[in-house]
Amino acid sequence: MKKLLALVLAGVMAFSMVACGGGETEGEAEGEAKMTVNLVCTNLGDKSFNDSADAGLKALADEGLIDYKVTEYGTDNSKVNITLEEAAQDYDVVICNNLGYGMATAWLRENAETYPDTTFLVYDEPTDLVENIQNVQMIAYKANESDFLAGALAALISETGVIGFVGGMEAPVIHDFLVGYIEGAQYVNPDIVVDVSYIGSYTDAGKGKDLGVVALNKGADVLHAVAGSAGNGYLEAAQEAGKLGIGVDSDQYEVFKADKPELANSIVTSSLKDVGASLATIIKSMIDGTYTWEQCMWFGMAEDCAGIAENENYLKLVSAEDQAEFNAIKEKLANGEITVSTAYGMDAATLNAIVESAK
Amino acid sequence: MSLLSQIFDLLLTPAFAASVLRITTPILFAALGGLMARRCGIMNLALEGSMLTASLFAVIASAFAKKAVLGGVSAAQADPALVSKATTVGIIAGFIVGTLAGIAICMFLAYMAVGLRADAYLAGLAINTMATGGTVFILYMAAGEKGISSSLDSCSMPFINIPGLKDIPVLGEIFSGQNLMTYFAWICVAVVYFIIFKTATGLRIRAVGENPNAAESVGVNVKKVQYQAMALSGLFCGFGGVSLSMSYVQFFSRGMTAGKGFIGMSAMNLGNASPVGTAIAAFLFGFFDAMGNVMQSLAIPVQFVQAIPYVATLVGLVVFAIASDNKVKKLKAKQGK
Repeated sequence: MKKLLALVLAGVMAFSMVACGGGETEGEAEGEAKMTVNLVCTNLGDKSFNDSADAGLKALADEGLIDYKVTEYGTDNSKVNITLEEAAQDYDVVICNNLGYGMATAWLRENAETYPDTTFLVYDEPTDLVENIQNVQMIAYKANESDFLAGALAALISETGVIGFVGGMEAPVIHDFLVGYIEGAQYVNPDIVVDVSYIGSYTDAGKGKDLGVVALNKGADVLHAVAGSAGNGYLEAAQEAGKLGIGVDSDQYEVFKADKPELANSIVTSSLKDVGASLATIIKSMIDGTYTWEQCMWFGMAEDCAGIAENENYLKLVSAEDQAEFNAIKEKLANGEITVSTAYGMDAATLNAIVESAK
Repeated sequence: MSLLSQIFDLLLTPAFAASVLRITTPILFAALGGLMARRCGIMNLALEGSMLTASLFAVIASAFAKKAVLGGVSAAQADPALVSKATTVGIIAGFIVGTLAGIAICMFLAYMAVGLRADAYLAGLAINTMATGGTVFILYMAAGEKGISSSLDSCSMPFINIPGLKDIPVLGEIFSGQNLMTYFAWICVAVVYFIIFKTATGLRIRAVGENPNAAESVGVNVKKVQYQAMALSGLFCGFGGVSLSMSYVQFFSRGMTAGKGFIGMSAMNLGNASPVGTAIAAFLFGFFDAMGNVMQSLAIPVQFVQAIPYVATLVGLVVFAIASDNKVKKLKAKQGK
């Protein structure tokens, strides 16, 4: 009896390890030593920035530039430190975001300098949480730029003058989207109403849908989700009501096009954050020796890492008139005529004032 | 008080009432599952894992059944009659397979707790852990995805417009146009009431739950009755899982139960395992959950609003504890006299 229980428990552990692990080694050793790169993340399959990072690095591996491996440690944040430690010992470049709500940066502050031969790339983390450590490179994205465009488009195509925004958590990374979204919408329509809510999770898709229904009940007809896979519930609420959704990070129309065409057809565009391209740029510069350390590298529209997806569905759903107006706005943003505020370093009162101004 | 009036403005709308019913659905199913288990004397902590597994299998089965009927033709190009047939088959397949998966998990717990006399709490927790990782593993095997089942074209339960009722203002907006599973959940409350109080099996389940030794002494096969009750528990968990991935939303995403099994568990405890009390408690949790959603637009910190359902759970449990304490005191006082 006890043996069986032990066996079952062992099975449970093996199960969860298989589900969380499953790393793949790309490329083969070919005489000369290639740069070894390890992406440490919770799980792939988020259809969002983890998958984007993976795609960018996989492309480099396919070109034969690097030896690449991804480590998925799962949902257990007590594994953050040990996973990073193992990665630091084995790889030239270790890539992660701020895993475990700050655990990764805390670990790097203490330990990064004990691994001088390893470079750490921390993406989606603009703060100075790790300061002046020469082998820790912070990478940030100008999500306010891409979401300025998303907000402007939402305001252009909204008929009710009410649009929705849902965030995963209340965090600067999400606020940066929000600030851009509101300012973009207000640029087009100063009287726009933006319904803002937070799911409190990046996986609770049911809650995402609940909040979508709330926004729709307030008259919103364009819903923008910035909440990982939980945001798909928010988008589904829009689809069921015959309204439009705006995705995030990856082109979510492409993700759903093949097997969930109804949902895909309601996603007018996605606010893109091309993590993969930014990582590829940095790693290429490391390979050809042009890389120099900075406290934080920013990637935005100018670097082709921020923007919105102008795919076939966008062309179908947005009228030529609105497209022309949108392109004019994009032009102005690109050449600096329009500047967008950023939520990074913004105090809570200013942020609240911006949110209140669109109620 | 402008804030209070703002809150009432938000809560006194038909749309809000309708969303309370929708949000209550999976919680109610979980609570009924917990009720059946508790009535036979087992604390079923695996509600969460059972629902999660059921919601995954419902999506996989419905997607594969639909695909099989369509026979390789994409849904966009196929004949509409064939598509609607495929969708019906998909819905039925998803419902049956999802429910069976829910039952299987609860029977596994029953085998550990009843057959092997393992601690039901520990076994239940282990099953939840297994379900968290196992569902991702199976999703990866079936669809090559690790987060959400975006590549599975799964079906969803229909929304029902009730003729006559749907034209009545306010009431029609609240009670008509809900998903089939929402109506089904409330029917299940009556079914559970009937099983527990009006059938021989229900009587045996209650007897075993109250005092297994006494039941055994009059010739009741305690183990058999407990297996029966756990199968029923799994049945309702299965319904709950199906309602999550085939009506609440139309896909599976990892960890999508998000504590609903445990909230259902608290609702069942709050209702003291009586079908009506449990349903009322589940409805209250649904109400506070929905309230948390609409109150996000008010000038109250989001963190506070997000805590409302959990605070409500705690307050409910404390009130229940005090009430049942008083009851015991009164009974003791009577006996003293």
